[in-house]
Amino acid sequence: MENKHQRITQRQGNRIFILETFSAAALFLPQIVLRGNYGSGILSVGVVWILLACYVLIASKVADGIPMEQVLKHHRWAAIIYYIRFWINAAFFYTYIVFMVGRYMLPQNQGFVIGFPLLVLAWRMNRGGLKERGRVMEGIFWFVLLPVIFVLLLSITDLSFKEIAVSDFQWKEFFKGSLLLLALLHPMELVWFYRGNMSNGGMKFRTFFGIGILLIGIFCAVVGSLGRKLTLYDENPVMSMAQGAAIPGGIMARLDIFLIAFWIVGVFCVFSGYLFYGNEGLKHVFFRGRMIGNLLSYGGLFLATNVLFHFWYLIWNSFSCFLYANLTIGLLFPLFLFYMEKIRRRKI
Amino acid sequence: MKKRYIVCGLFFLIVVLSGCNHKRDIEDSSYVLAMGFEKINDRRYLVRYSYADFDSEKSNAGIKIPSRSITFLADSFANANKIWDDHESKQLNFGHLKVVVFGNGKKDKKIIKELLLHPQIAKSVYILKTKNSLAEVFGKEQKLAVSFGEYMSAAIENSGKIKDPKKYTLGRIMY
Repeated sequence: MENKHQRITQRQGNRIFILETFSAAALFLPQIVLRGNYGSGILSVGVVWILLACYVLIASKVADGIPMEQVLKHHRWAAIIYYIRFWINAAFFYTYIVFMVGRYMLPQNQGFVIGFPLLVLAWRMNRGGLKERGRVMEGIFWFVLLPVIFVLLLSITDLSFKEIAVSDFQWKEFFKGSLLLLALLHPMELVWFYRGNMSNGGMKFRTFFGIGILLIGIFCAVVGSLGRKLTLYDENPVMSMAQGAAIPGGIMARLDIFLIAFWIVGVFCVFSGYLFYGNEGLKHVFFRGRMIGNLLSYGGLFLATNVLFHFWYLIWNSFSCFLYANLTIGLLFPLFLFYMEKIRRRKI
Repeated sequence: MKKRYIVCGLFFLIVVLSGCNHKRDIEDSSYVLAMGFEKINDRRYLVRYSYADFDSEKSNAGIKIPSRSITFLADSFANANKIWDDHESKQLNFGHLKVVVFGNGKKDKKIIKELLLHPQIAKSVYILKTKNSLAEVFGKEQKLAVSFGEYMSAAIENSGKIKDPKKYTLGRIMY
């Protein structure tokens, strides 16, 4: 029987995809690409744009009409794996948000004070099922993207194209940079969780076009305004790019706080998404799974706030491992899972 | 639909209310608008902070705020801030910093690295060097109606000799 709380429209699905895939990844994109591919980073961004489109089109076709909760009902072990993985990913993004807010916006505040409203909001947003989540994401879509586009447009005025252009091409570097970027865009795997619940069609061409423009825009704006060396040296080059962009006429000399405030809402979408999809698996598969999942997710993260915050630099230094693990498990595992489900359905 | 508006409203409130955190008057912070560093030996720097002097503000509209300076000896930028915190009750704020001037005719790499990693310092801050001493450069400050930082940044931006002022900013220092 169809669950009406799990149905979303095509537009909602497309907006969820853009917010979840772009928001968090874009914050790390320039430095991650340059770390792997210093000489021709722009080519890696272009290639990964195509790879992303191919992956999501495959996912869109395979998962069409097969909701994830039905797949997990027949593979209960997968629901547990997903729950644990998504809890770890959510913990990473949660700590990142607390760190960024503490550093740029609300210094001298305890992690708990910043983390508590985040968790309450995430719980409130997620408790109504995919339908409510889809509605909220649809509502905040331009709220997150317009400031980003605005800052990108302001930064265009004085970019150094010499820094963006290909200066040296090596296949090994190109492959490494592309792989790292593909791993960074791992939240695209979340498409498997809502594609089966989308009515009136799958992913639109303009969604891929839009996300590609945004990814290239971020790379060009940051590398073109800071240069490659500083992009690699800086801890938050995207924020540094925003510090350099100003509204002409002295109306607003700095736009970084403005950008951080809105971008954090975007990262929040990814963080709440991981909690949502992890819990949904448990909810549909296990008795009292919803209660246990919620307690461990929201309560667990709240209790772990200070520990996570304390070990933030250790977590941050393991960022590459986090990415590669997500690349291998995140992108290939659902393909395998849905393939098994298709075989099971054919046998029936 | 009503729930959607409530959640969107909460997001908006979180964003706009973030500025209401510090219940502190503007006069309780020291807004550094210009800084100077002059290496005097292998380890020590003469550090000069030029900050907004709200007591001397004459326009009553907050548009022309002069500045005054303090100079001290420090090992690094971080050490200079620590010395400030130990002796001054007002909290330092670098969010409005315009110019950093290096004496001895040389930009110091160690200090620049510290400036690059400071979260409050914008990448649009001008980094300049001079062969003169800091005392000579900042000597003009007392005669200015506006702060030394604003005066210097306006001078760079309006100078006919400098074609691309952005070249001298912190964000372009590694080009």
